Amino acid sequence: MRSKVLIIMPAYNESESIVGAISAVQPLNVDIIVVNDGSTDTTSEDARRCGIPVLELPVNLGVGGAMQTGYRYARTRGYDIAIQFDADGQHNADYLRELAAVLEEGKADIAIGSRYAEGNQRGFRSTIMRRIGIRFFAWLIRMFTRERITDPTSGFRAANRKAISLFAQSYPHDYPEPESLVLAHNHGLCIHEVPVEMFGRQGGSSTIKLLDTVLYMVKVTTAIILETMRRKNRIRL
Amino acid sequence: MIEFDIKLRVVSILISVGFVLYVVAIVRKETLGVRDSLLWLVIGTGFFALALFPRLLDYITALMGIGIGVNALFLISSVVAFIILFQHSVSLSKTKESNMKLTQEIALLKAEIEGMAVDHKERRKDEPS
Repeated sequence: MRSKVLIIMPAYNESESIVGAISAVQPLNVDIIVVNDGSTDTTSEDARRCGIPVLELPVNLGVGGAMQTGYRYARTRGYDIAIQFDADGQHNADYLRELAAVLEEGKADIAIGSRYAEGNQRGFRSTIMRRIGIRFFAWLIRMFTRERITDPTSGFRAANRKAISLFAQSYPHDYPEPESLVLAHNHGLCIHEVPVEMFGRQGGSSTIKLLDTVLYMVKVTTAIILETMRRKNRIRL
Repeated sequence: MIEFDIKLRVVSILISVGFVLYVVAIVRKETLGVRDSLLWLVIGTGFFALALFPRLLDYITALMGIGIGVNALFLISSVVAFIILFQHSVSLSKTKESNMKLTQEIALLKAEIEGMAVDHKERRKDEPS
């Protein structure tokens, strides 16, 4: 049985790169939804011109809020697998099948495309500072959850029905990736990493600017610790 | 014990009465909800009581074991301000959360409606003209 797969592409002012990202995933012949997070440019029109339906957020909610909209869409439409795919072109569509396969085989509830998974030396690996930060988050998550994740900030992930249901009901707001893993762990979901190659950004600017790095680290660290302290299995899947 | 200046007392009374009346006025105009107004009415009434009977402050100060009345007043007002600020932070969080839910719902419903419009168009296409 072939599972119903949805690619969720959150986009905030990504008109430079969204067409490229869409044409990269279109050959896979699965459903795609763009979540336009209150863009002020032509992101939405560009996506529609490619024949992709767009969820229009009337105001900017930030990555987390946009992502969750996609998960809610996936849940109400009964998709088996939802895959986050960035509109900025840093994710490589060649790995989509592999991510989905991990879930289809029932190996995990969430599959993360990791740049740093064992034996993976390929592709864009981010700046040294960023890498140190990522290592730190990985360590922090391991300390609290015993979960070995090498790329906790990766936004290249696939979620099965259980994970879709969880994220549709609760998804962290500001810098959601690392925090959402703790949330998933707290609800008994199994997380699995797949080594992937990523590209540098194709256009636009990263949501995390260098000057904000320290603030970002502090916020995410606090968020992770607080998330571990929240009630386990508080959301019914 | 300090003798309180009569002018200061009159001004304090006028200000506190004015404040309470203002709160009542904006509640009547529905700018402020009845529930949210209660706190400010209590604070305004407290100010009014202190302005009317400044000796009350001496009594409270002694009760709290603080030497100088002004210090007690500052302490009480900053604690109250802190609590109010904190409560506002909490309710702002709640509002943000519900705002987000509503925004998401709008996006999802909009897509639903657009889909219905497309279905209609297709149905019309299928009809023999």
